[in-house]
Amino acid sequence: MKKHKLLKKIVALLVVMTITCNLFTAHAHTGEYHAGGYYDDKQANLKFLIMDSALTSILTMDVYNSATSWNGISDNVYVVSVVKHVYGMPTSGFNCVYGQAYTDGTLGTTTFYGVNGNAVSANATWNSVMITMNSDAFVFALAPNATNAAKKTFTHEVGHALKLKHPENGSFSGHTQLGYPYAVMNQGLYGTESYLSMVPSIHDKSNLIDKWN
Amino acid sequence: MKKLLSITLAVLISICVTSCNKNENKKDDIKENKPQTNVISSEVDAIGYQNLNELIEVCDLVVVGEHTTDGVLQNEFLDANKSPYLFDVSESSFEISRVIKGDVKVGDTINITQQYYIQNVEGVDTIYDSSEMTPMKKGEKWVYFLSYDEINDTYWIRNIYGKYPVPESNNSTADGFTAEEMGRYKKNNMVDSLYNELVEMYDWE
Repeated sequence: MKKHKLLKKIVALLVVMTITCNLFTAHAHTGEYHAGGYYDDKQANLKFLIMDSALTSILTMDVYNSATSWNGISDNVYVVSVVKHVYGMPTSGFNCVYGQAYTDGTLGTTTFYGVNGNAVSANATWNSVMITMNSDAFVFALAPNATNAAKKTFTHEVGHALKLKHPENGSFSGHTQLGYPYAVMNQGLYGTESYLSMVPSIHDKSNLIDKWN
Repeated sequence: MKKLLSITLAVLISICVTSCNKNENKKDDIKENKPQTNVISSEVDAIGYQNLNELIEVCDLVVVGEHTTDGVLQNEFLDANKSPYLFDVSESSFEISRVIKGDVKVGDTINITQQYYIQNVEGVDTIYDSSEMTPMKKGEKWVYFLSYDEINDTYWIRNIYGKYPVPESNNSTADGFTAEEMGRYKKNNMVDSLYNELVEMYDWE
């Protein structure tokens, strides 16, 4: 009788192990952020310098100050300052933001740079980022609210600077809208799709905490 | 009882092994798709399109054809005075074999621009990419969705939604292609869905 009970326990344990193993496989997409750190540090204290080319009638300092919406989520992430560049001001120590007139539907890009100033892969340890924003007013004007769309794009790019990736598309837990979670890190023009958030959502915050603690 | 236990154990172990193999297979797929050159990618946020008509509407040109040159490094400019300097991209000549939308004709050659450039770094070709698409190569045939840039006299690919392989037959679907064959570095369900629509909408015979 005792032997029978022991066998039952072993079978139950194996069933639990099998289910756990399968669950782990199904949720492997949760790595929605890149590896690598900032200066080999476990913290990211970011300062942004907004260059002249990045300032337009839509891309204002108010838009760029939306970067601070990443504050207060992780103790190890802090957007220290967002400063407008003035002539003669040194750029070292800053993450520079430039404007570029893209005609292909690009809203913004983020490129990572190493200590030696060369562009590096998003998975590498980085020293600074360069963000470009589409300075063609027409592109943000396609959104119901151009300023909010520009704020979403800059917050999205700062999310990349904090190593967050675009969420995966598929039938994953929490991906309830056309296979996407509600998130600022989704690609697209704010106001045109229901899954686009203007500020960091619960999904974004969860990934940021996972990455930076 | 022992027999039952043995069978249960065998079934559970095989499920565990199959489940773990899924990850191994994925790793092998990634290895096979890894390009020979080094790729350093920027992160890109771009406007998305839910269906093909939405995409066609915003484009100046939708064409099928073949690259007659490899992509070559170009400097693009922000205004007609060629100042300020904008950024490094690649440009390639493209001969049109079919026009779906736009004021061009079969046999015309246009310049196509994509946001990447290649540099040799310590003997290794390094692709600096801001397009999430594979480089333009001579002899390759693609369907392109393009926007005209008057200042630089070139057509820009409408980001990741703007480049598709020419289907071999009506049965071709995005599921049958790897990300690289689709002209991109990463799989994207939304782009695949547009490609499937493209295959269905047009007669490729």
